[in-house]
Amino acid sequence: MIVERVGDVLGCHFADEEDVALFIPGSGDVLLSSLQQWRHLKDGGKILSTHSPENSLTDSPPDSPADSTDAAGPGREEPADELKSALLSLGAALE
Amino acid sequence: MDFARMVTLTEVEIDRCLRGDGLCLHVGSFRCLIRSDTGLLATPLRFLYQDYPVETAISGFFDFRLRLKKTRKNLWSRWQVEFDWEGNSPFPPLVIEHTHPLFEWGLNWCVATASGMQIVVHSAVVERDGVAMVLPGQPGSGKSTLCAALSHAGWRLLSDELTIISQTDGLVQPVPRPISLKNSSIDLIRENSPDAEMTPPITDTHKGTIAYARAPGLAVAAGGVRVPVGFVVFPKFNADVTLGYEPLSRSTALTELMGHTFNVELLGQSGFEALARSISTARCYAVEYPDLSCILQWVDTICRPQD
Repeated sequence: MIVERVGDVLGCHFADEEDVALFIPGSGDVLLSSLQQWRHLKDGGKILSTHSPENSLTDSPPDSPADSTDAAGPGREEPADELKSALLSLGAALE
Repeated sequence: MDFARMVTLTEVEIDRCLRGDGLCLHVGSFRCLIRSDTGLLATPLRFLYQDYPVETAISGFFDFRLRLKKTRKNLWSRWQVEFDWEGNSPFPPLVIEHTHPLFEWGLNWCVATASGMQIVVHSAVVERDGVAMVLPGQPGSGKSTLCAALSHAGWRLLSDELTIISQTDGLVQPVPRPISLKNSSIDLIRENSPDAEMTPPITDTHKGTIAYARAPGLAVAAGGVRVPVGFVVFPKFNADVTLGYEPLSRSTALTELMGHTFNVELLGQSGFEALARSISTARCYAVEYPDLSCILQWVDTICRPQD
């Protein structure tokens, strides 16, 4: 089990699992995130496309066939964006 | 130190203590001083807490000093009962006939409040083979009913209401207490667990009709034996389904458990980490079940130690 921190958000990841339990101590809010989203957030808050070649640098599972047909256009909100938005809406500080 | 058991006192003796300097009741690791002038507490206390250690010579430190006091607004009003813990009460006065349920609710509140340095999860919890099975659930999920059935089917009752987990070592602290059964659950447990001993139903409470099942004597005797969490099971009763279950990741279970935890936001990072550590080797499930026999069979099959 690993507990890491991004800003004031704590993420708890258990071995062999693909998701992460997030906790904001100040507000008491909890959230479930994918390990991929959490790693992207942790990597300096960079928002990476699920189609980015940088994915290969993580232990993320391969994209699903459905994902591979999606266009990651400029207006498309990426999963890490969604996590960041959700955490910010809960009042978390990510810096 | 050896103490007398409640059952060695008569109801008259218990009532005399309650009206006088108080009766000291040991519940798990808590020492409670109880006083009451309603005359309605001695019978249920003697029945439900018959195996619990008590003291009648009052001295020393008490975790709680509780009082259930007769009160009324004026000479023409009905008598009511008021709960008091050293000047505090989260409860409004109730009709005097509800003295006993008010005591049980009040004691739950005291235990939860006094355990603030531990992790307090709103959840039933039982033990078998040296590990605890934590059963969180929303009201109506059937957790108390399931807890009562399990505690008469080879599992040791740790608590039907509060799971107290040590921040230091992650072990569950038992607080075995009478199990609160509501409405149709009362007959269900009577049919399913004929050896369960219950109080007569108490009607017209804000939770409907309730009855209390006595904690099995072995659970009371082992009230000091703490155990690690082996299973986290989120039960959901639904009469219209066939039993279905889903293994949960521990992250999912942790997120859900946090939602059932009274004080983890107060404990902050250390509480979150301690709760996570406490379930780090647990197997976690969500299960929807149509009746008690199905879920008991499922528990018996699935919630077993792995080789």
